[in-house]
Amino acid sequence: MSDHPLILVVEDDGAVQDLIVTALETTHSYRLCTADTGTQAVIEAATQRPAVMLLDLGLPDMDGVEVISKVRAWSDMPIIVISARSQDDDKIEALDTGADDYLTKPFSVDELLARIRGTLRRLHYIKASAQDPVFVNGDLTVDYNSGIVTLSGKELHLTPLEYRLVCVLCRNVGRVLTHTYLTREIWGSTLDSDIASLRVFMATLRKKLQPLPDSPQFIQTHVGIGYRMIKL
Amino acid sequence: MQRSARSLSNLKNTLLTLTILLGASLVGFAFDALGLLEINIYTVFILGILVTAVVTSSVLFGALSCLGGVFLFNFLFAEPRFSVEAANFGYPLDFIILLVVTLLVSSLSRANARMSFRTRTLLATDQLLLKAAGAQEIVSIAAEQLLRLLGRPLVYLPVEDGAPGQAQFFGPGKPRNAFDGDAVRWVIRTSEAAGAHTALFPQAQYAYAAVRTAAHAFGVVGVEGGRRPLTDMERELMRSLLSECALTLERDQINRLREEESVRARNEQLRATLLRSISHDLRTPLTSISGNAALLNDAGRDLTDAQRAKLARDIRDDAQWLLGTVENVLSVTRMEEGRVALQLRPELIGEVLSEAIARMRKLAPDHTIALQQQDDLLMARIDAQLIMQVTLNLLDNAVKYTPAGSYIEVRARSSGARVVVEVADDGPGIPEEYKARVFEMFYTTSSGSIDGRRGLGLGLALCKAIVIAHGGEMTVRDNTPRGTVFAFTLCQERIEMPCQTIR
Repeated sequence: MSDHPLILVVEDDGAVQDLIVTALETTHSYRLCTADTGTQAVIEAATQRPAVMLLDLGLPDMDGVEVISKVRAWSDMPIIVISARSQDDDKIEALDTGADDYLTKPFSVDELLARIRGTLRRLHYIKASAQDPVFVNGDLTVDYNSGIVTLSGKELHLTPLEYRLVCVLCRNVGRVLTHTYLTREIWGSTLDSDIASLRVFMATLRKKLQPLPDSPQFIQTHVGIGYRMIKL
Repeated sequence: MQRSARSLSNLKNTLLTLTILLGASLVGFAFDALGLLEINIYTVFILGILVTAVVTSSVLFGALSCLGGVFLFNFLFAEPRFSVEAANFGYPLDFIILLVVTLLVSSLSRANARMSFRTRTLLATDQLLLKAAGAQEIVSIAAEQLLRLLGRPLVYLPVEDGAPGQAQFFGPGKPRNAFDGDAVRWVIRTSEAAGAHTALFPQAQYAYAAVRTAAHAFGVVGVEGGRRPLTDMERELMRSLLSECALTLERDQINRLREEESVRARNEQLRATLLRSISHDLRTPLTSISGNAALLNDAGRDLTDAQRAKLARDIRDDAQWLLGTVENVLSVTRMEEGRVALQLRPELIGEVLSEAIARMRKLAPDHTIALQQQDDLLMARIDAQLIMQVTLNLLDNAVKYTPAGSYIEVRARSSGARVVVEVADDGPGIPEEYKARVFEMFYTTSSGSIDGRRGLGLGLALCKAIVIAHGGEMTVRDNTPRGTVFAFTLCQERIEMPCQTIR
């Protein structure tokens, strides 16, 4: 039991907290702790050292984004943001502050479980291969030292910009990266024209990584927000 | 412009004068041939000179014609003929008397012409003002006309909250930067004329008068002082033109207020209808959700697994329906209040459409939804979230009004500077008489929906509002061989890709 990962659920609405807790308990794979306020969330995160934090953005005492920046000051524990607001700005701000992923209310239980599983898988992968110079994800390998990207053993011919994009995505595998984050990483600026170019490079890169419509999809698009390399 | 008009009129007058004098000479020769007396010929010349004075309405041409006529008569017909020598001592005297008469006639005719020009200008102003829309246009027309009447540069200062606003200059010459603040403020306060050539602020550069009706002061007009004050006639004309202008401005203001009022009333009504529809239509799914949940809670043990699953599924479906409706209601209110600041960014249209399709496939597993695009790098400048909602609403509509197993195709193509997106289904189609009304808010057909549940009739109205806010258009037409196509256009974004080399 004790080797099950600990999940911190930060949610002020009783019914939704119940829903999340019940959903996670029925899997019998996680230990749980909860918090109703931002202050309590920061304390729990510091004392319990959870593996993953589920964080509602609308808390009574402080903005969820503030919780993220406080926790990020000393920990890189994965944070999945839960947002009732359908406005993208809040999610983007949370992701840019350091959140790893997001869920929009109302979310399905399946979706919630899938996100937690994905995050844990990524955590596991990062622990296992932190210093590994070769990134492996399903059929995709990226050799950072030689700069060679292969898919199913065949070398992919990428442009320098596409290669840089792949590297940023792979180093942050599983995380949703905002358009702003990506353009800043690639071009060092966030002009409108860069955002347009990013769309095009991403589309051509995706085509190279997914040569057939039914081949596995590595890059997930989050419309209005950004992109994510999925950990297969 | 003005100079060329003047030289044209000089040319015309010169030609007229010459023609008339030539005519008089020809008639003179005819009379001479007929053996008529010198005095008859002389009368013909007098007639010619007076006609010239009337038709040219110019003192200058009257005098010239007089001089020319007397000279011609003297040279051609007076004894000794074909010499300028005046045999008769009376000719110079005749000439002087004739000149005085001509000058009198031409100045009378000139005054008459000026009067008729003014009358015409005033009438034309009336006509132009009648067609004018908006304060700016009204002021421009009135100023142009005043400029024609007075021939002096003007300045117009709108009155804003009792103070003079940004000055506008009309007429030739350099606008003067400084205008006379004290005089203008005095005119605004008292509505009396002030400025150059008046008792108040005579040192001012312009003579100011108010543009106002009994109820409201709209502005102040300043006419450049010049060397002489305006004549009584000019002042009278100016007063009548300005009061015409003020009345038009007042009419315009009243119209605008009335229009705003009617828009407000319409929005008010829309909101009332929205509230009524929401409270009516949302109760149904809420009743079902709370009823089913209570049933599961109270009698869960007595139900079979299948029954329990059915109740849970109903709760989920109703909640989903509520969610979609609430999203639309929220967007509608945002659009209605004009609060939506569109977050326009260059987006790959294919990305947005595939995401919408992926979501709809989950909700409608029995329909086949496909994406067809000519160019997968097609870009549009859009608010991704809102265009996704448009696509989702169109897909939801297509799913709702077609039987299970139907084929829905989403197409995107480039057309000039636009991107055209179409959602086509092979369902029963929309009858012609409904097509014009499907985009109306709260319009729903009483039958035809497959699941029997009516929506609020917000979806398509919202789609149209969003597309229009993007500067596009939304249309509906029949699909071939059957079904419906909803199409909308967006602004295409063309980008220049930074150059890149192949590794």
